[in-house]
Amino acid sequence: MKLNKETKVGIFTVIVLLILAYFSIRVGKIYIFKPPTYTISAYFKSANGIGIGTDVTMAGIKIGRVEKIKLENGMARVYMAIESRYKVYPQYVASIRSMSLLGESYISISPVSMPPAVETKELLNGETVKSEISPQSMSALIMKFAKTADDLEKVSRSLRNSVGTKTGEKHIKAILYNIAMLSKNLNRLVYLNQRNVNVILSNFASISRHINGLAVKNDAAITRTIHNFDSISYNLKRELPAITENIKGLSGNLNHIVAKNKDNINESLKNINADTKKLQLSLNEIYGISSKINKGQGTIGKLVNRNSVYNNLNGSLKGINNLVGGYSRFQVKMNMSSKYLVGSKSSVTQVNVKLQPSPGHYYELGVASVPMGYGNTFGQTQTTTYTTNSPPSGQFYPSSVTTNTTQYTYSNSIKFNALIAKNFYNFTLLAGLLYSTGGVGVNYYIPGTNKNVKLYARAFGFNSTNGSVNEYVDAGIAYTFYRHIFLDAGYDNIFSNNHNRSVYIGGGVKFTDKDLKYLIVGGKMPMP
Amino acid sequence: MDEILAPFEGIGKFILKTIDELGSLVIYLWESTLSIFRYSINFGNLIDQMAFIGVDSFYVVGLTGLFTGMVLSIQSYYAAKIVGVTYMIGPTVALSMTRELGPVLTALMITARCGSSMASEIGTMKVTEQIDALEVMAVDPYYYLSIPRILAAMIMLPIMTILCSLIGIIGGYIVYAYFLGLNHATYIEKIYQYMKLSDIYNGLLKAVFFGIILATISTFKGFETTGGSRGVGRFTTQAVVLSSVYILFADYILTSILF
Amino acid sequence: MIVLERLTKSFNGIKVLDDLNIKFEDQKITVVIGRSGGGKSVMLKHIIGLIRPDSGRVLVNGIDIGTLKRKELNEIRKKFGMVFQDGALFDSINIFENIAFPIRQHTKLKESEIKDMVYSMLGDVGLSGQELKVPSEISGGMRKRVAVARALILNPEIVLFDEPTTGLDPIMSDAINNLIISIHNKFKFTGIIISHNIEGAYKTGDVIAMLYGGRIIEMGSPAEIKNSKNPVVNQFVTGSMSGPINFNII
Repeated sequence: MKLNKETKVGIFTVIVLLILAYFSIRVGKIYIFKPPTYTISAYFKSANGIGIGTDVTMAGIKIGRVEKIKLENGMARVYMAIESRYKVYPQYVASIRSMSLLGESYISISPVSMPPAVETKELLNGETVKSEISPQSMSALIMKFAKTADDLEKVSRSLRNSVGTKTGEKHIKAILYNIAMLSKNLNRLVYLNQRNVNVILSNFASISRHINGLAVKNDAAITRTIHNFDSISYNLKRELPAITENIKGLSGNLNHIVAKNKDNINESLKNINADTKKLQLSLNEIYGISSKINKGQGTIGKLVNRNSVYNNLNGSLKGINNLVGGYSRFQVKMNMSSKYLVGSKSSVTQVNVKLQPSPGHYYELGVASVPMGYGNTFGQTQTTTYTTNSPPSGQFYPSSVTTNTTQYTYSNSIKFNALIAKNFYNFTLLAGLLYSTGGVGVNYYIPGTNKNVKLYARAFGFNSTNGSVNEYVDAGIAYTFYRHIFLDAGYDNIFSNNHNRSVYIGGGVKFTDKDLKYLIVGGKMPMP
Repeated sequence: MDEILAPFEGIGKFILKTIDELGSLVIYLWESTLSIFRYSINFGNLIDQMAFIGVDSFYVVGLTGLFTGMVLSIQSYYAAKIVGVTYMIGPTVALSMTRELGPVLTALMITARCGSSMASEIGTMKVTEQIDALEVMAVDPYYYLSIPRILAAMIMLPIMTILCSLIGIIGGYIVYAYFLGLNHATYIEKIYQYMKLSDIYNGLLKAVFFGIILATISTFKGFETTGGSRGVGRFTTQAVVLSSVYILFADYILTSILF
Repeated sequence: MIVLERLTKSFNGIKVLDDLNIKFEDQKITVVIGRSGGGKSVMLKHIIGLIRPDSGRVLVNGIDIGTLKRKELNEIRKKFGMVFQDGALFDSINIFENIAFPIRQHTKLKESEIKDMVYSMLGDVGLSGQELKVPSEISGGMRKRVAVARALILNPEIVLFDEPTTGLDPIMSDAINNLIISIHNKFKFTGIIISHNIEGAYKTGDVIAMLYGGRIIEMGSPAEIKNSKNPVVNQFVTGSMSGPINFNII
């Protein structure tokens, strides 16, 4: 069929116009068969990115489109035409979202908490749905990222400034040096104290031998006591790994903290520097004191430094082990003190070990080196008879035993203390062997000083075999000014009638079992 | 002295000539428009010209659109792949075609095909006194020759633009879905998502203007023709060049006004 | 009655028509002779309003067409028919449509009436059976005939012939001249023929005018022109190289 020109042009034009109409409808979202809709609205702080025709979706499915946008009280009121077959409930929340970093915005309506089944009434035409604070726009997020990056950069720059500079380096070096010094000193201290402990233990050995001699019958009890001692040390040994572990953890934490708080490192470095210096100083002091003691007690060391002592001690410690109930209750304290008698220009040095099974009472064992004429001290060739008094409660201890011992004759003035003590409130009453004579004492701890200030009075020299020696009374005050260090001052031989009275001053160190742990078991201080 | 001034004189002459030409064009268009009101429209001529500009240009316009769309698709793929927005190829092709390339390419192709033909036809009539013959027969040559051509171009250019854009988008789709192996549904969906009605209709409005421009200039240059068959060739060339330049110039102006 | 009064026209500073005065009698054929490029065609185009004079008047039935608006001019033009030098046929349409063109443009006749008119005219110009050919398929002589047919189809008062025999062989020229005479006898139009063919002028013209130097220098019957004492006319009529006509001038 031959079409004439008019028909051809007509058909052509009509076809093209139909194509145009079709795509106009598709692109323009013009709906010839418009599904029934109802209008709801929501208030948004910003309608940025949405306009008339913007999709309204629920769960990603298009349910309508934006009809108009009005400004109301500084808020954008967005009217949305929702297809009637989709229901929106008052609990639903509308928010403006963005499809992607570059994508356009759309409005998302979503249920918040309640499932649709629970809801009863749906939103009607013209009602308002709640709006949510729109998720932050991408640009805002990007701004935030940029800011964070800036901050990070600042932090790292200041870190670099604090650590990377010469002063920072110097500080770190100083700290490392101080730590090295500290550990060295600690090692030294431990080593030295080990020697002291050796000496002490040697002394103990001789004590126990005396005690052995004194209380043969009660050997079993003593043995038990000593055994407890062993157990103590065993327990201490067992505890050590845990402690080490703790310290390791501590050092780990420290590392962590150091790594983390580099910000403050300049300040900290200075502080630590100062601290370690102080610590070093105090350690030096301790070292000095202990070495002094070491020297002062040289004679004792020489005297009791025999191998057999250890064997005896082992046996004796078993007894103590039994004597002591449990580790938790049991406390061991030791003090070493010296006092200078102004009148006779002589000194008294003693080492005492306090065994405290309960807070209420304790036992004190000790040795003392005293000048001539102190207590019941006699000349070198004097035969001494050792007696022990009957203490009020001598259940474990060789009490109420009186033994004449002639096998030991000393040319010098080594005396022994063995006391039982009972605490009443702030008072402690003591009784027992004091400077190898019968003696009693009373301590009064001044309240509110955490037992750091102690007034005391003692009387001894009873039942001395030496008739010329009278009962001996002294009184004084002791002040523990630092954890391990105390000062002592008092008046000696108050009631003496032969001008033996004298003011004395002194001081010493004392350790608790916590300190002794390291000393007794011979472990080294863990390095930080 | 003359040698120094000669180039400036040349520039001045060129500017004057251009302005003069533009003025003549406007007067010519005005005369032609007036002749519509003087006489009723000759539908036979109009249909002839519509067939010539529209139906008969289908293949050249369609092929232009097809290959342009395919090239656009594949070129934008290389760019979009870098940023990972290959889903934007559809809108890129569709918007480029409807807003810009459809109208401009159609106008240029029809200038080449029909504008040259108009200029040479009228030019030949001019040199063989057919125009005078028309005048003598009391037939207004603008009415008889220009108006149908201008009207036909005005009407058919948008129609051909629709076809060009559509075929271009289809070409882009072929490349997108079959050569590049991307998701064909995305292509279409994103076009609907990103295209607005104004994109289509502003493109078509452009096409109307391009139609007026190309037909006016081509017929005007035909009437201007002197100098025998050589003159016909010369003026035909001028018609095509001038039409193309004015179309591109008008494209810029219209784009900045419309979009 | 067509009167040209003091008609002056210049192209590019050259005066082609210089104070030309001529009167064309109704229902007579006036042949204007002159040299090629002597301004004959320019004069003719003034008569039909294709060219407007620099000065002077062109009066057609007393109306100065140089001052008319296009629409008024076109009304005047409907009285005219014009045969162009090369026919000026519309080469995109066939002979039938060429001849029917003025009818279609200016009348609302039915197709059958148009057909009758065209076929009748085709018979008058001796082109029966050639109506479906396009101008490029026919000879120069036939083209002239078609042009004459187209010019005469609406039966105009005035018919202008621009060099109707130029480019034709003598036999064909004579045939065209005979055609002009025969149709003039039939339609009784006022004819204005411009020609440089002096033999044709003698044959077809009731009046012959000589255009030289931009003005009419001699006008009269063919016999008067043949026996003119004017040396220019004499030289042109005899076709002599020697004479006052300077070949260097134009």
